[in-house]
Amino acid sequence: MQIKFLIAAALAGAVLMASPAFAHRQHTGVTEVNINEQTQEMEIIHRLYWEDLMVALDRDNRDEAAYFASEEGLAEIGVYVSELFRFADSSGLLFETIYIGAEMDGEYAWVYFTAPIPDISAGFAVDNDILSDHFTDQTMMTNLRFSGQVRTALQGPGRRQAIRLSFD
Amino acid sequence: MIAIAAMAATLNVAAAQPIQQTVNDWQDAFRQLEDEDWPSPNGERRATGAPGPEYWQQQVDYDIDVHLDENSNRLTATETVTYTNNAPDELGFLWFLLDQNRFRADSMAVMTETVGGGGRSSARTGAAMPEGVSASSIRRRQQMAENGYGFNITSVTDGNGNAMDFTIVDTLMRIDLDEVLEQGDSVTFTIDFNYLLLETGVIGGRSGWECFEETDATGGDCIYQIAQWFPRAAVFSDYEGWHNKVFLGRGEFGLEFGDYDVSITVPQDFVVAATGELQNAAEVLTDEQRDRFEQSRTADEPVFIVTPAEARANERRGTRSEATWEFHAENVRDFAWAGSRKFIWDSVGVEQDGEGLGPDLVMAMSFYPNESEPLWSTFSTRAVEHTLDVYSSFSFPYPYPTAQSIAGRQGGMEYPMITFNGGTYGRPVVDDDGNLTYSLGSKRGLIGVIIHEIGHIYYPMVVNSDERQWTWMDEGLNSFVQFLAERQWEENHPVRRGDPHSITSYMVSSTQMPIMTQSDSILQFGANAYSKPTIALVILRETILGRELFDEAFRTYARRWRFRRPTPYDFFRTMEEVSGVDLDWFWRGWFYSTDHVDISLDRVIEGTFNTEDPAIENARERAEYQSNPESLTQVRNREEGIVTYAERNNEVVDFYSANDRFTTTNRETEAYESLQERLEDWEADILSSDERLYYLDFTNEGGLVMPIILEFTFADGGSEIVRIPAEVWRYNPANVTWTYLTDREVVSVELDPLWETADADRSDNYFPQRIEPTRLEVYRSSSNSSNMMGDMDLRVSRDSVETQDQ
Repeated sequence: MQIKFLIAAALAGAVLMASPAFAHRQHTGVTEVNINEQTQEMEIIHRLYWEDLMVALDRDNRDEAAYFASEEGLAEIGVYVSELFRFADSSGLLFETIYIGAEMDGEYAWVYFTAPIPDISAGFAVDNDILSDHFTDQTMMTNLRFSGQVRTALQGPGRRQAIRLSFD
Repeated sequence: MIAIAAMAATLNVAAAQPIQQTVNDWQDAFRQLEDEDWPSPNGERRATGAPGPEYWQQQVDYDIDVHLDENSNRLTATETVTYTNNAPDELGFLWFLLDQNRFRADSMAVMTETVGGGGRSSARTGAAMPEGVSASSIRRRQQMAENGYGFNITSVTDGNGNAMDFTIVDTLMRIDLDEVLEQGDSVTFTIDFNYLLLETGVIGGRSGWECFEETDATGGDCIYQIAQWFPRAAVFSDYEGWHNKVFLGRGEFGLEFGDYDVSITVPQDFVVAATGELQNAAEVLTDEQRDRFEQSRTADEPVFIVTPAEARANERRGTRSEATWEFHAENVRDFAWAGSRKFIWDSVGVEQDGEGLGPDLVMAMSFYPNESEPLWSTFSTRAVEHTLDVYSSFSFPYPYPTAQSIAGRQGGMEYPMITFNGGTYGRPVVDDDGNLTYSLGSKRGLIGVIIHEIGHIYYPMVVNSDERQWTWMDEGLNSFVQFLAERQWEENHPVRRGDPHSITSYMVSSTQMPIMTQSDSILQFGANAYSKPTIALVILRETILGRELFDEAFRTYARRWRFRRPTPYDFFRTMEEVSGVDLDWFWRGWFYSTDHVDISLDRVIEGTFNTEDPAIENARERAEYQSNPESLTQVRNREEGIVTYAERNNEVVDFYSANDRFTTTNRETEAYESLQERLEDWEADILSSDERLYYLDFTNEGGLVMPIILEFTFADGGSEIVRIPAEVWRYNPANVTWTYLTDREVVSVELDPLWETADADRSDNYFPQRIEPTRLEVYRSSSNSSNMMGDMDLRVSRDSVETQDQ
């Protein structure tokens, strides 16, 4: 399946809500994609503010720690994040990710996925819309690390479209 | 013209790369910033970083009468301004800030909300077709188009009541003076204005109103937070003249200091909090409330001035009559206020040594609705008290009589003596069974935001940096001291920013910007203007300078620029001058560049001294030789029982069969004895010592030069941490070989063992190489348990944080 189709499909049913941008509270998140030579897999780790995630999941009236410790909560987090983070090779073929789990640490929510190591790592397409469906000012930074190099896809207000990254 | 433009472009490129050479690729990471990137010292600002003997700044005093119409949500005010010109310049006109004009439908801020920038954008464009739009953003645009936000300036009149000319340029207003204002002279005039307040949750911004739905758990009614609400004099400074940067919504503001008398007319049952001290308590408070306030001045813990029960009763009462609250504030750069009939009010006196710079007693106070209980009465005013204690120790005594924390829709914003700390912070939740609980996140968030916003009263409300140009100067410095205060609140209190490893993702990203970027142009505002400068200062304190040098320099900066207007260069220079340490390399790397920290430990080679004694050295060489694997063919021959020719024919066995090349000869012994006679005693001592010399090779992968911190572990089980200053990179900022002399055998070396330098890649920090588990691997191997209140089947009440069984 091509990534453009998924983007369009995801947006077709989206009901977007906005929250005001507070002077000192930033809606930001980081996604790191690394190759783990030990486990021979690609690690995809999202770092979000758990409070924002709870709002996006419509669970902001719940005890977040209990939610993160529950099977129901972990499952919902996995489904939500996997739908809004799309990662493909240069031809647009999506990588099949495996949800590992999520945890809270301070103000952060860490959400873990893995995927097989790609055969070719010269070019990728990233579409990271996590939390942007609820916060119009949400900014997501995706760092891809391959062969000691880092390429960054920065998506935020006015720049939501998928981004191609090249390691050539 | 074309040739000139081309030359200018070339020169600009060269100037942007001052450390890059033209004849080779060597870079001078330690090249000085003075007089190249930093402005020349002058009479106003010295090379020491201190204000000069000719330093000046303007004085602007305000007398304002304001009326809140609760039904129409409109503010109407009359503002009398007295402007004193202390500048050595004649002024024919004055500029004022009209921040509310940012919300006009035709403002520069609204008209530039489009693609690609860091500001609010309602449309998802950039592809062949627009991607979509949010319902709430359409609602926001509709309200801005239909409601007519922004100031209505109805008149500007001089002291005689005559109209003065004025011109509005987006969020700025120029008032033309009847006569030129000379140095030392003052002018007084009056501005009449009104504007419609915003619904904060819809429009955003830093002020407005929030109304509560009336339910069994909530009492309805509204909270008003009023800020950036009157025409305020723009800055006129020695280094920029008039500060004419339009307000685009992010770069907050720079202002002049002055005295304020403000009369606030609101519904009679409102409780009002404001910058300054209440002047007419006898008129707006009951006798009992005034008695409670007096008690709170010497109390050990916060005292309710308005109790939760009184606030609950108050919000359901309603009235058509009005009351006027009068406040006076001295030497402040702004004035904000909040009002609601929902407010609970608590207060406690905080004692301090004012040193003649501030009062010896500060009233810490909080105003909040019942919906925020029990968190706010437990933590808010105490967090204010803690903030004053820690911040004053790093700067100067708190200079004002009050420090206030207000709960409301605004998630975090600061003004002199008053802060807005609301949003979702500190509101407990009621579960489906009616149990009231709050999370660690709610508690942490509330304490964190209060420390941060009260901290802003020091930076920039007193240390008056220019927020519109350099956000990091107030957000970065304040977040740094916030980190110190949070670390002193409670052991293991979770903090958002400050620990160096948390910034590495941002610093390795290919979209990073330098900290020294103008506020409105910054992408990833939080990482750039808050986190990175915070962590840079943590590293400067803990790793580069040490606490004693850093704290003295940081405190000196705050005291030098208390009630004055510092620039980045005043901060940089003060830190260097007071600490006595050249830090240009540090400012360049952390504040001017997008380099990151990544040092690799490439190789470690052990060396021992050659004693020149053949009896020792030959034996050692023989042992080394014999430690190598024996010839595989020879081993296999022996295993097969092959007998060598010499073994079968003893007559070919000779002198050389019995003595290998490591046998000590008479000539070697004689040479050694001769050497011993020629050696000085100290040379002989070195040769006979058993010390080892280790050669360590490093590569600066990230580009940012930093100290090299090493932990050596020895064969005897001991260890030692060695700190090599950053100047080790001065000859070659890319590669360096450093030596370590010890009498102990080293078995391993770790680079940055305490994770204190923000090293982005730790996989190359070990000798011998070690593979650290990734965060995901650690997660897989750990249990994920919760110990939170709800999981423990506990609950709290609105009255207390004491837990009870559910």
